[in-house]
Amino acid sequence: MAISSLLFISGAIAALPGVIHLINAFSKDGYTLVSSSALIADIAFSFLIIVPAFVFFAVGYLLLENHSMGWKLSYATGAIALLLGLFKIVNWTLALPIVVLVTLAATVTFRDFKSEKRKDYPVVTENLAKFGIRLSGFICITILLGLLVYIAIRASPYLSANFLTSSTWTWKGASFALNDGNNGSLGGIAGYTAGSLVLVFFCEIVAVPLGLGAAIYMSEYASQGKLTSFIRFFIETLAGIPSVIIGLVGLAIFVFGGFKLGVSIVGGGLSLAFMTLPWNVRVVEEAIRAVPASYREASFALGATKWQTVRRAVLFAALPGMITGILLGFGAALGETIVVAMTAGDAPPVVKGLPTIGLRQPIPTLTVFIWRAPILLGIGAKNLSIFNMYGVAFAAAFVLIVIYLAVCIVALIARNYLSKKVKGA
Amino acid sequence: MFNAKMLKENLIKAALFLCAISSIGIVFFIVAYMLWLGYPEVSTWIEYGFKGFTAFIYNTMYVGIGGTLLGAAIGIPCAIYLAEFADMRIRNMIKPTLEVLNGFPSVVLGMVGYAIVCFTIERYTGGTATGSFYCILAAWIVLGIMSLPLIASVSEDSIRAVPQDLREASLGLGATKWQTALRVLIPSAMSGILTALLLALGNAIGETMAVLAVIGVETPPPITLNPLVSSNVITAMIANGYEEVSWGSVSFDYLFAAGFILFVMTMLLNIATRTVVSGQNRNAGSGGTNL
Repeated sequence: MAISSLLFISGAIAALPGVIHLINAFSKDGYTLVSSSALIADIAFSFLIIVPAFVFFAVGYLLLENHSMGWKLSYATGAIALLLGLFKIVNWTLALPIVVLVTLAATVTFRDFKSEKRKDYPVVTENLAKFGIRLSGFICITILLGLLVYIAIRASPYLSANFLTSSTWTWKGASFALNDGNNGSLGGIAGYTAGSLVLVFFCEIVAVPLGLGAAIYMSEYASQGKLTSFIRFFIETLAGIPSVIIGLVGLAIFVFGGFKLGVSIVGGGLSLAFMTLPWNVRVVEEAIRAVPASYREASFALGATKWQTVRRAVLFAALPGMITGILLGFGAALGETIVVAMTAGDAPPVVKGLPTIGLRQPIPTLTVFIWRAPILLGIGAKNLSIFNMYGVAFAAAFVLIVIYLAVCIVALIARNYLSKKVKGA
Repeated sequence: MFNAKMLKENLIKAALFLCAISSIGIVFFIVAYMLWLGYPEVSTWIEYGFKGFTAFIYNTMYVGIGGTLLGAAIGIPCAIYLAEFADMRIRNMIKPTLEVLNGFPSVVLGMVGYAIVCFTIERYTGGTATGSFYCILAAWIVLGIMSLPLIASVSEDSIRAVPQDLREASLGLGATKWQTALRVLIPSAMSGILTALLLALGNAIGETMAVLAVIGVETPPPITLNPLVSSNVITAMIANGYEEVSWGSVSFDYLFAAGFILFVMTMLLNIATRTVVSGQNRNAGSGGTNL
């Protein structure tokens, strides 16, 4: 047990260079065209180490009765790979971390896997099926972790304190210049981050009261009849409308058509509120419905009015679910691009200082920046590879993901903590 | 008798009622605008090129169905795992993962998909000096990742909802856990799984930014089964086109007509989902055991 823990910890620390090497096989910095055989050799090299370890692991679990044998075999493979690497037959920074990383991730999902051993039907199919199921769980975790690691790695050359906090870009003629020796300097995305947060905040100011009001009305005040199912049907319909259509309608209503506001924060905020409304209504309504009837009855028995009951007893009890719903809606609105681009964005990059927030002015947003940056930065730029342009976009994406993850983690923690608090109260 | 307290109560009730009604109003507004602006131009769209019309719908459905199937290939086994086989610790690791993946910013997913899939294909087959390889396969992969959480969680809920006595009866007859899952639970939860697939398909058809980054700008898109060609879908077309055309021009009305077609497709899928759900409710009533 102690040996495996040691191996896992060291592998987790040492894994990063190996992962970088594997990723580089897929995305070399600077554009170089390689022959297909070289790419295959690259990938094969990386997987030469993973596959035997995995095979031993699978064989040990599927066919052998003694499960620890499978572990021992995979560790042995790792040791062999390490030795080969030490003799420079294989790149050891690649070998050790990948073996251990794969074993680590596989341990999580295959920890209590018990293979069947019965005589009356083919046991291999059964074990293969159970293995395959766990593999899908393993793939889910790997997808998310892989995304985060990849974005972090691609973004890391461009993340500096200046990038994160300044909002000044240097113009060189009619375009941006990166720090490529052409007298340019990399700018910062603080302006875009601020713009994104302001826009989503504006959207939530509109969407949260509206959604909360609708949810409270539907679950507390309305008679459970046609009206509530009608409203629910419309909310579900709104949730299913594609975002481009809401963007087009936002164009029609706010930008060009009815209100003629032009591209503005008002139009953007209201269109985003259309998108966030279903989150607020659905999740909050479920949370309110989940409050036991005894809470309400006790409050009425003490002489409270309907609104007092709702405000002090029911909403307090439903708080964990409500906060989770609102925060998840916040996170989803943060990542919205096309609605924002159509109604509030496509703004020229902030040149100096924080963005001016005028109700009828366009506002720069992080998501629109990520979308447009490769094109913007490429206008007139010389000697830049495609990857340099995407590097800046990846850095902005990294910032966006960090904010999004922070919102998600706060939502999950709030749900757990507050539900414990409410139950214990 | 005039009662200040009752007045406050009634005011609050009226305010909440207005909030609830506003949601109906918003959707009604959106639908009405969509119909009003888009419908007259559908004939223009058909005239513009009958081939373009069908090509876009075909590609939208092809990309959407492929992405949903890919997400289901991973999502349904994951749902079985979460519902039947996982212990609390792993559940508490996988469920938050799915929730985080659910609302993941799609522009970032599209960028990562482009950087990994498209550039790999380009290096493998050799691309031009400036561009890179857009393909439907990349869109499938990206849409698969996006639809994975939805399919997994809705399918897991419907597998959990299968009555316990069905499981116990199957185990009592000597079946193993996996045999129970495959032959008893999945058929019972089939309408729930189908609902999940249709919901995911609706999301996949309406997905813009992730598909936009990987699908290309072919107009009209090709009608082919080959997933390694660059293509176009309705959402990507609208997203690419809206800034280049001016309000009120013929091309802009073209975009609204395309949006209208997309809206109709989404509505049809919505109705199909509702039909499946009501079928599930009907069957669940009569499908229990009589022990």
